[in-house]
Amino acid sequence: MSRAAAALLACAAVLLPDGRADAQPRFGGQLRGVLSLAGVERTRADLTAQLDGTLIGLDGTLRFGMFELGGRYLEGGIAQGDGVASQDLVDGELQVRVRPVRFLAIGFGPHARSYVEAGTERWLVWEASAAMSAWLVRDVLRSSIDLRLGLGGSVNSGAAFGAGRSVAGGLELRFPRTPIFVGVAYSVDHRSLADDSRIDTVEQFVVRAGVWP
Amino acid sequence: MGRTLALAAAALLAWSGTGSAQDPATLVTRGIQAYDALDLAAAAGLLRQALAAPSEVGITPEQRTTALSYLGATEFLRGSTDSAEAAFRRLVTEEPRYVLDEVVFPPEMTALFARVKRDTKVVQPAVPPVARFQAGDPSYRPELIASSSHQIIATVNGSDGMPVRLLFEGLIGDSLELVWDGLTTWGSAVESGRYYLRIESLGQDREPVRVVRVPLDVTVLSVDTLAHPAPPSDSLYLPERMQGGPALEALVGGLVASAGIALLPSVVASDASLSGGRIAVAGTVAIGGVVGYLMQRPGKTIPSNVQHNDRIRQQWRASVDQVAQENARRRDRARMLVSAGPPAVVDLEAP
Repeated sequence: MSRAAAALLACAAVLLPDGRADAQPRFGGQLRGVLSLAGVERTRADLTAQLDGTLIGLDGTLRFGMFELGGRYLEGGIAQGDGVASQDLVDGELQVRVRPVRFLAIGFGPHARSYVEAGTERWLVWEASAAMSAWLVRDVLRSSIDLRLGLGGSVNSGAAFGAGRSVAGGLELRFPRTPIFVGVAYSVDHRSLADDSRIDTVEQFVVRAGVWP
Repeated sequence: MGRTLALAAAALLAWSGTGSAQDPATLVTRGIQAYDALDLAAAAGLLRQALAAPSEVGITPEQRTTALSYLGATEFLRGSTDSAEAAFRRLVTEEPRYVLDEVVFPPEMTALFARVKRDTKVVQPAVPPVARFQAGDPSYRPELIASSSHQIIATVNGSDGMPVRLLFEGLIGDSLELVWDGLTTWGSAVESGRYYLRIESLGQDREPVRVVRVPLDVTVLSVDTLAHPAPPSDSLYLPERMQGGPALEALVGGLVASAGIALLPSVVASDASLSGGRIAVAGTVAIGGVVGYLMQRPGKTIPSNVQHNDRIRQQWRASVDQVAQENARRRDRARMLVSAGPPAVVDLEAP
């Protein structure tokens, strides 16, 4: 486990006993539709390729008091600019989170990404996350930033997993007196093999719309 | 010999008078006998003695009115009209409805009595000794008996003498039934305490010539009233002005997220060539933070919260008013117990 991962878990341990979480409904959740303009920069043996495409999927959260269960599923096609090399990209994750204070959620869970071409190359990363959010306008406008660190992982090609980290942030606007909200976000996800023979950087501009009961 | 007999009779009369002081009824009988025998001096003496008897050995009201009527007649026959009028006036005052028997007394005498009765403005109240009724119900009905037709004012006064309710103002004929519902002039039930039923007989110039008052002890039987609702808890109120927290959260949250979006991707993927589009997202978040700060800057009034708090206050005031009205209604419909004391004539000459 890397030093950063240990620090992240230590932060979680410190924050867990904090009982100052703001009063929230005991049960709740969110469901969002996600449209992502994705760009994958893939470096393999000093050769870099750029694959772009559009992903579409769902993103949801269930909340039980201070605990949350989050999941996301996206799929779509990516291709190089000339269209010669196209792949399907399937991205899914599951996270268990705890929200010790209103503005912070700490989580852990698997994050799988598959590139489907002739065969399927699957990356599975166990990620720890720290997501911070703040109300810019109470109950209307909220900002968030989500940092993730891969604590371990595997690739089905047999190559040794190296590292994974990502950052995502954005803004969500809830229409007053409705449960409907829309949002924009930007994220970068960086994964590499142990020998750096393969590095994938997935950059996404995301538009989200959903129900916020 | 005749003189001796007269002295003996006088002595006997004196002796019998002394004895009759212990038996006023006998004095009345003997006075009437003396009147019938035209022994007017003896009749006057005997009747006065009977009327002056102490109350504990006194005569009945009927014997008293008889004694007064014969006393007036005696004085009339003796030529003392003033004394006759005084006796008749006293009779009318004590028994306003009394009528001199025209069979027994001559017309001159009954005429004098009628004149005295007409000129004497007296009202005698007949009040129920104890009455129970519900406030608001016109159930308390004292009766007034008048000697002759005249103007009166009937009020219920407080113990301080101030009228709390006017019951009647006008002409009384032979009699009049007053009605009181236990309420004041302003429509609320009187509180427990001592009150007076005051009847003022007015003269020609509407000046009071005689005032009678009857003490009324009013007891308002217990009323189940509702407790006033407690004021809303402070926790129900929302802050009416922006605190520093939301503004700070907006500014810090916006700027931190903005900085994170702008800078952290370069750290996360230092060797990748990232697009500049993230700057647009970061800028949007930063602008959102600044706008949020300006919208929620400390001290700014929050109209929705002001409305919310006003609504809570109004609801509470409405519930307090409702309870107050209900309690007033219950109090105004309280059961009352009124005990009347003996009527007393107020001395108008007293300072």
